[in-house]
Amino acid sequence: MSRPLRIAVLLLPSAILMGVFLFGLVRLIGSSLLIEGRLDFAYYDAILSRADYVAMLGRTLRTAAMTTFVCLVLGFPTAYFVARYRGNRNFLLLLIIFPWLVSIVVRSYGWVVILGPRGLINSLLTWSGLAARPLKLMYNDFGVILGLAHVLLPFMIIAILSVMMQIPRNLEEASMSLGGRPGYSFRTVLLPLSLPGVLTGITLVYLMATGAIVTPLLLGGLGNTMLGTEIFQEVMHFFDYPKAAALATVLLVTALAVVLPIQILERWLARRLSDGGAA
Amino acid sequence: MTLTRRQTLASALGATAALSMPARLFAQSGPILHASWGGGVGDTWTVAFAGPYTADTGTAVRIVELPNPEAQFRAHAGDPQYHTGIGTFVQGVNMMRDDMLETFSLDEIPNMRNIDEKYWLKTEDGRIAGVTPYFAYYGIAVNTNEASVEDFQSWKSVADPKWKGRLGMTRPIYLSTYDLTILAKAAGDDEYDTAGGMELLKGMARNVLNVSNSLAQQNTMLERGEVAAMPFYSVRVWSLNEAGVDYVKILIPEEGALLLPYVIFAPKGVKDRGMVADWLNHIASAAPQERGAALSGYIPANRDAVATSEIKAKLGGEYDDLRARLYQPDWGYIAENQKDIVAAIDQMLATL
Repeated sequence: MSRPLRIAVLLLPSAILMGVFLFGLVRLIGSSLLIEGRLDFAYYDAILSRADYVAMLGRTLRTAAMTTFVCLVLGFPTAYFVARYRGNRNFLLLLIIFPWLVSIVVRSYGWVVILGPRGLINSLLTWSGLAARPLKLMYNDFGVILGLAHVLLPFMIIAILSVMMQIPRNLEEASMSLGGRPGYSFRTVLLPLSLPGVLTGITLVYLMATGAIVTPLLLGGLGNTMLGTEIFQEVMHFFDYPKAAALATVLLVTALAVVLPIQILERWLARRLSDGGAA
Repeated sequence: MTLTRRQTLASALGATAALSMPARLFAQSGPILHASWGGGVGDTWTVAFAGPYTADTGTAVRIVELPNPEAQFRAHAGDPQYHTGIGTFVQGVNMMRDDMLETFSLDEIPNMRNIDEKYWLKTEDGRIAGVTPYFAYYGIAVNTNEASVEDFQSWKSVADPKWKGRLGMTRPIYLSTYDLTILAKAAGDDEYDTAGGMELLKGMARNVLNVSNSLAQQNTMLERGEVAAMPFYSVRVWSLNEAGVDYVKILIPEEGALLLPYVIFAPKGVKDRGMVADWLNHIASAAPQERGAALSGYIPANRDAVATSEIKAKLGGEYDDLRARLYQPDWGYIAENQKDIVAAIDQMLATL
């Protein structure tokens, strides 16, 4: 088999996958724009003219951003710890991905047992007299962000870890041996080199959080409906696929508005780091 | 024995094909496939309806549990994979309007004569598009460890600010059909004029701890006392009571409770039409409905069904006494306007 043919055969599965994905995307957007064969923005007009939908979109993006921030704050030190761990690193990795073995519904319900009005924390607070009545620890923004962070944290850790594992330990040691304090070494060596992983993690977590359905459904309150939940309702209850497609397109465009600059930054950074490495 | 790679691949493909085929094959010949919700509903249908039918006629009925039978019917429109399925009355009306249901004459389902015509799912020309085997009702479930049944003698109580953070509530999709309808009735209006009901609903929404998304979640919240009360289904409380959770009670407030008819329908173009009509006729008869009542607390639609003394004790009277306290709205009107009502509720909730 010639080399070009071999390459073509190897690329064929991914080409088919991409083709199917793009076809689906085009169909999705098309079904929201074509009404009785004519180009029509009626669904978009209807969505963007409703104050509750606009608020829902804002809430979705805000919640996704806050979830991403929480995952980053928790994920970066965890990834650093695992990367520098001298013992059985595979065991730590197993612990990180362990939650994936449990259904997302069960994981979310786990928080009900801990944070609910009759849950562990509220029972302790009321029993000890620290609170007169149960605190509202869930069915609000806090509950949704906590639940999403629990579900998505492994993605952030693994994205950062995959890059950190490539950073030679002796770079940090060299920095410190030249007089750099730990904070300085972190800021000038570790952080810049791990940024591609951080940006990948941010992209992954942000995108998954914007489309979340189950966690906001189970842990959100009255005012915590997210766009993913609304899309689910349009598909599963009203069978209004064009409207669901329009909502999904709005979500896609707004998510891309955040993710594309991140991707550009990541590429620029990768090029810069690679140039620096060559120099 | 050593399997070659080709043999292994062939076996795997064969197994995959075999696993993917049965529903389609069965739908074309063999037993009746009935799409049901899961949990207690599926069990009720297996024990009260399907098992005895098979024993009487020799025709096997397989109850297939699905999260949403309507979604399956719509997904396979034109190429039905199930002979019959269950839905809410609103779902039935919506599918009938979308011309997705097989219709039958009264002669094909003669037992329908024993079911009050106001519960029929029928087309404009009088053909039967679905059989209503039973009802539940939508009242107020109270955890008596957290509140007294006297606290909820009226639907208006749910809007009382003293219950702030102590009530449960379902999603707008069901608020639109159930809660708003009965709250409108409580406010002195009806499903055609829901302004007063919307005010009560707003008051209730201000009091809720959360919006629950599944019956299991609602059950748990009531059972654990996370909420003191919530509008809920009589049959779910029945199940809780049967499981020993006797401190959760279902109330019919003074304005009445909402009557919730369920409907069994067949997809348009269903195979084995005669067999399906016979199965629907069995569903419309009194005996399986009585068994359903004994198992799960469903109220039979067939007027010949008799309540045992045990059921009377649990329901608090004869079926007719109970029916008299239930409000049967114009489900057709509600189904037709559901999307607009959900939008109105969504927008109302967004202002809280």
